Amino acid sequence: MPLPQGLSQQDFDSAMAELREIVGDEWVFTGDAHIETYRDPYSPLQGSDDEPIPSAAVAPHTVEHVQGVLRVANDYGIPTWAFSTGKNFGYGGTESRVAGSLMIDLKRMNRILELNETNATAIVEPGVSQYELWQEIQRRGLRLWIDGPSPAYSSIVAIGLERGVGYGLNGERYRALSGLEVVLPTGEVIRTGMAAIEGSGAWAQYPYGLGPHVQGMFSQSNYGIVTKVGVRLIQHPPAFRSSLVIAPNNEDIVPMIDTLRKLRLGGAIDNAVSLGPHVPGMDPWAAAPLDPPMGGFGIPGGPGGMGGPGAPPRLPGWSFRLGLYGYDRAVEANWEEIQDEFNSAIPGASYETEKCVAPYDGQDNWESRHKMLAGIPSFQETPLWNHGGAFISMVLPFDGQAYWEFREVYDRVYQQYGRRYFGGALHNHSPWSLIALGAAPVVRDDPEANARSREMAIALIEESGRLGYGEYRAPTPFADEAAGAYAWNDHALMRFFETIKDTLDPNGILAPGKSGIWPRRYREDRA
Amino acid sequence: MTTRREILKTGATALALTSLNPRAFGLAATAGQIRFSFDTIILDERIGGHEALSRLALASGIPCVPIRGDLSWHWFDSLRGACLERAIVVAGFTSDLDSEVMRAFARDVGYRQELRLDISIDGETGRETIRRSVNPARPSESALSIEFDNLLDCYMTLPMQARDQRGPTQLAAWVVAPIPA
Repeated sequence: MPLPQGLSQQDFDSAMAELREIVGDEWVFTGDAHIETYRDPYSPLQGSDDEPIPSAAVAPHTVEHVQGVLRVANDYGIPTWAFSTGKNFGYGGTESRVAGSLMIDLKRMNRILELNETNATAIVEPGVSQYELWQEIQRRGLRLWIDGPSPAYSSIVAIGLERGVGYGLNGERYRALSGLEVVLPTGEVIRTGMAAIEGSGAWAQYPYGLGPHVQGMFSQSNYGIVTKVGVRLIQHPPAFRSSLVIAPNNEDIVPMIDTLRKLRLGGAIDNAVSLGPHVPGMDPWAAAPLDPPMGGFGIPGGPGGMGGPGAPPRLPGWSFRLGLYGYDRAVEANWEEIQDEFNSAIPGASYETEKCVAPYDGQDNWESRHKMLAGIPSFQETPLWNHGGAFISMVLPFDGQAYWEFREVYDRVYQQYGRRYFGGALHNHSPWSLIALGAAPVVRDDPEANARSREMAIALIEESGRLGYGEYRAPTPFADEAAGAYAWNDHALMRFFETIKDTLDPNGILAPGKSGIWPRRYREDRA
Repeated sequence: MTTRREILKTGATALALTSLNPRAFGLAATAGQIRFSFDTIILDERIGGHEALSRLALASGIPCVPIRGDLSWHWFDSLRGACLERAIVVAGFTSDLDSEVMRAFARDVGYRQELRLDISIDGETGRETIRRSVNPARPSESALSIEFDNLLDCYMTLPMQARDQRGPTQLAAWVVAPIPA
């Protein structure tokens, strides 16, 4: 168990004693048995000398606890790393950037402070999972849905702040957030947007307030620890149609994307759909393989091995989940138009569809893809993931040909590392962009294989950068490379980030290196 | 007989089962002569042979929870409360990913993954390979380790079942228990 750099054992012990005074003995965790649980099981750094193993963990219960923890960190110069539920497999889990970090585990801050059926809003703490909010909505019998609550265990606050992909009407999760309470690295507490008004009556209703819109500064950042957030929910629609749109051939992805863009921009499709290689009976995104070789569709016997053992590889077609919400007749009219568009663009397009009308009795028996679109938490987006992997997720224009060319580049890099990429999951936050998902596989306890994966991930980031693309979110170990792509005007944006960091966190104790943003003292050490 | 409490407390009680060869063990298990003392076993229904394992668990009076690639509902609805109420030992035979989800859930209630074994299934031939034990936190002669080995032996000696083609090919058998004070 490493100590924070530059800290003596005696000072570390003193710091732990102070933390115990603040949060109680049982909520400060030291020793290998506890620290082991905070390591990221799918870290590409796992088992290597570079793995940033924590020194200790602390679980505050209140805002005052968080302030106290940061005070101790400042006094002793201890780097910290805060997380909500810490289960974002694919982007780093609980992994920090710096060895010896103090993990700030916000799991005990799990209160649902407000739930408003009339306005479809909530105010929650960071430890509240999608499932727990859904459960509370059910318990109270409210006619509310959470927007695309998958995976069930994820923190509403964290997946929003990290700008995770969505599946429902709101699209990216960040859009659901409205008004934050934040403990700054110095311990000062601020609220943003309407939440900054004393006794705010519209905290979760309007995120901007007056003046600069600073909420975004705390998204994917290391500028503060968010302790409360307003959340926008969805009212039960009168009718809901959940469909799977299927294209038979692999090359159909080009007209599928272009038709989808037309329908998204035109307003016929409201939800943030997720495309993926089509495996009959599977959700599209769930079928995105992490088997070696990566993108193993078409490999005989693999999950998409359509030909069976010994048969020649055949690449699968594509499908996506589609949710239509609203009044019954409008939903049905839209559905007719959508089918006409895809039938014209893709010969052999087919559909699986089901319409549901409020009050949605029997939803427990729905297939998982219906559930995800209807705000019922599940874990069904990932049932076929056989290995861990670090996601390398690029933002592309919503354009079929651009994706096809990007896929060729990805496949070329994959082949350099003995793998293939035939296309993975594709998300659309909005009608204007696609998120194309690839992954560098992580093989448990094989540092050599993981070192090659790291090389591959960095090569993917660099090659994508040459096409003018960058990541929307980066696995912790690749944050520097991902941030490096945003290099216009000699990295002016990063210098701006660093200026803010140095101002808000003069001792550089909060999540150093998060999103590639290093505090001054680390920049000087690395220079 | 070794109780669950003793397993947790001592972690070192030996059971006289290690000398059984796999075939003999399988027969003994099938005949109901082998009993487990985990508090609950979570089994992914997509894993071939899960029915037989489930019958063996039930023969030992252990609740067996079936899942299909998602143990989060069971966790939130039931298991989390049970873990907080008293010290229990949970065994599982699931996908690799579910085992990691469980590991993270365990952390939230002061538990950890004590034992783990990864089983890799060749997607084409169906051949199974036990890859390695990860994080063997307990000595191999401990009662918990032996219980765990028994569970695995049961699985490995079952006749190969027709596997769900959409099932996971990276499996993990695991045991989660409270972190010792």
